[in-house]
Amino acid sequence: MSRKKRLIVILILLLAGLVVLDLHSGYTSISWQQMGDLLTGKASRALSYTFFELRLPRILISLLVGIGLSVSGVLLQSVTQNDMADPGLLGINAGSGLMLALFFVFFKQSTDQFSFWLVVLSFIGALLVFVMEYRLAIVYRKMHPKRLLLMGVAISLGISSLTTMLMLKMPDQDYAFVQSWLTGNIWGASWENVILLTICFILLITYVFYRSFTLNVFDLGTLTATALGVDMKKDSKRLLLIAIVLSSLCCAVGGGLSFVGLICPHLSRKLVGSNHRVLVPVSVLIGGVLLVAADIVSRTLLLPNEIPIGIVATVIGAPYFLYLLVKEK
Amino acid sequence: MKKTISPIVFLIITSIAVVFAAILSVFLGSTNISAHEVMNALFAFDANQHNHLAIMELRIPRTIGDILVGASLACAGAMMQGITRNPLADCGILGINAGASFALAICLGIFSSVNFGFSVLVSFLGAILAAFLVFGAMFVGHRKMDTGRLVLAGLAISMFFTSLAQGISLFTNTGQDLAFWSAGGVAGIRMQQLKFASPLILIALIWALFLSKKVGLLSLGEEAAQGLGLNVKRSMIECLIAVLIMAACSSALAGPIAFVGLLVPYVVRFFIGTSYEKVIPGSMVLGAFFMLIADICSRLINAPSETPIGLIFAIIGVPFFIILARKGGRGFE
Repeated sequence: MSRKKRLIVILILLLAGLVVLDLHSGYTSISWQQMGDLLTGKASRALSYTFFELRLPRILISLLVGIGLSVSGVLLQSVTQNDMADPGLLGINAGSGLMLALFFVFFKQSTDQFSFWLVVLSFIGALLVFVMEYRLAIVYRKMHPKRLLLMGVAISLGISSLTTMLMLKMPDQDYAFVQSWLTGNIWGASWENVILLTICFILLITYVFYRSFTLNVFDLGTLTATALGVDMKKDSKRLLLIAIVLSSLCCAVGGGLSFVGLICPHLSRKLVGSNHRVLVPVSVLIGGVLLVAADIVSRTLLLPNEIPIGIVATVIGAPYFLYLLVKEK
Repeated sequence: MKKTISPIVFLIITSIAVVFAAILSVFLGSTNISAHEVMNALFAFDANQHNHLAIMELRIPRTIGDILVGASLACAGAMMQGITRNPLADCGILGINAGASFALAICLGIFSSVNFGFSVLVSFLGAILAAFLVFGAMFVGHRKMDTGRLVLAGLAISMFFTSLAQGISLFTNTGQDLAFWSAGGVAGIRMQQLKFASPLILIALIWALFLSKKVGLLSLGEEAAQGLGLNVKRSMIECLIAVLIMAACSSALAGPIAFVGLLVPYVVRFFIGTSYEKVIPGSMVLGAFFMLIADICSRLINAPSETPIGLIFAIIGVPFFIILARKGGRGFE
């Protein structure tokens, strides 16, 4: 078996192991026997509520968010040909952060009642920002990726300082909510979101995998790509849009998890090289593994408090990435 | 392709603008002090008069701070963009802002309130710590310099420290204090801090002028630079140390001000072209100008309370940048 295949098998096993461990651990720890009961339908009602309504959707959302952001990062870095590109840089997080902050300032309501609308709102915020940047980056009917990135940087700088200003005026409780949202916190954990994300992701990621040849050609530069028969303009637009939809969905349920979208693609590239046919599946797995692992730590380390998952993911992921970076020949 | 202005003309015009802005910055402020009295404070200083003290101890240090911070952030940004050949790079890549906010978060967590002088020192040390980790990740086990690795190591380390800072502030409930610092501002600068920071910044700025040719060569890529007879490793280390000094000092004095470092070099390139020997001095002067103007606005818009400087950049600077970028010109595509 080749090294890459072995790596993929190891990652799949690791992911499965982590998911089971994640199901087991938490505020009420669920024993193996109880898990058996749950599978055969013999468990008590309280237990099955905890398992099916609280824990399972939460774990699935973490997994999906990891996958979506990681693939979105791969796409953005390939299309724009810039190592620093990630969903956060294009202002996806900033756009939904601003929407949330505005919501808190104008409609001071309890968040429980409105959790569904907050998801919709932050998705809309993210998309609006991208549409604005894309429109501004078109000059003389031509969209240049570098100009798009610069527009992204400028606009997200502007938006995030507006958000900070709004936040400084908030009462402590709202401030803490928006702050933990901005650092990345899984809060949209409900079955509707799980189903929505799963369907979207299966469709979009299959398409991305199917286009991995195009992505490989992107790495060769515009001229070579055009010579090889890739319609750069159309394809880059389509792939950018996919990346944005993936990351906005993730952002809407999981907040500003900037680390995953930026570093997971690089981590995967260090492990398997830059052939997208392997890179896309591996980054799906890496994103999933990182966030499920982070979810375990975030829910168990400081019981009964929860550490925002974005912080845990960065603190776990960054040292490993640096290790790979230093070890690399 | 758009025609550019001669760099000499650009430098002269912007320098005059900086001088005017600096004079304005001394004369204008939240308390209304008449022009006559300002002149008196400058030339016939009387320590018993309240207004004279306000001029000498608040406005003058603040004006000097604006100039130094603006010049060094813009210059550091231009140098980083040249060295890494990445249009999105700024001194934040060296982990400076993240390290500073990490150190500050620890202090705020332990001592709940920190005075400005102490916070400057602490954030300076944090910045240096993070930058050394980035250098370490770059050099350990490698002979060859690779800017790709610099960017990646820098990003990972900055995110690591930012996360730790956020975590600490979340659990000690000091998030808003930290955010207030992160919003950026030069309001707290006094002569005492300037005495420590300004010699360092000035030396680094002058050094950067001498390094500008090397930055230009490095921006062609490591191999091309080597082919042209440059000692790549040495010049890169020199450039990074100059950037480190400038960025650490200004981040400690004024907090992270992303706009100046990232976007001012583009504005300069729009006017005078892409040669680094011109862009670096141009960025210094224009950076100082932007910083002064933004600071004056932040004092006057909602006087007597301060509008954080980040907001001024968001409202005025960002639209200005977008208009320039849409006009096209060099360096935007």
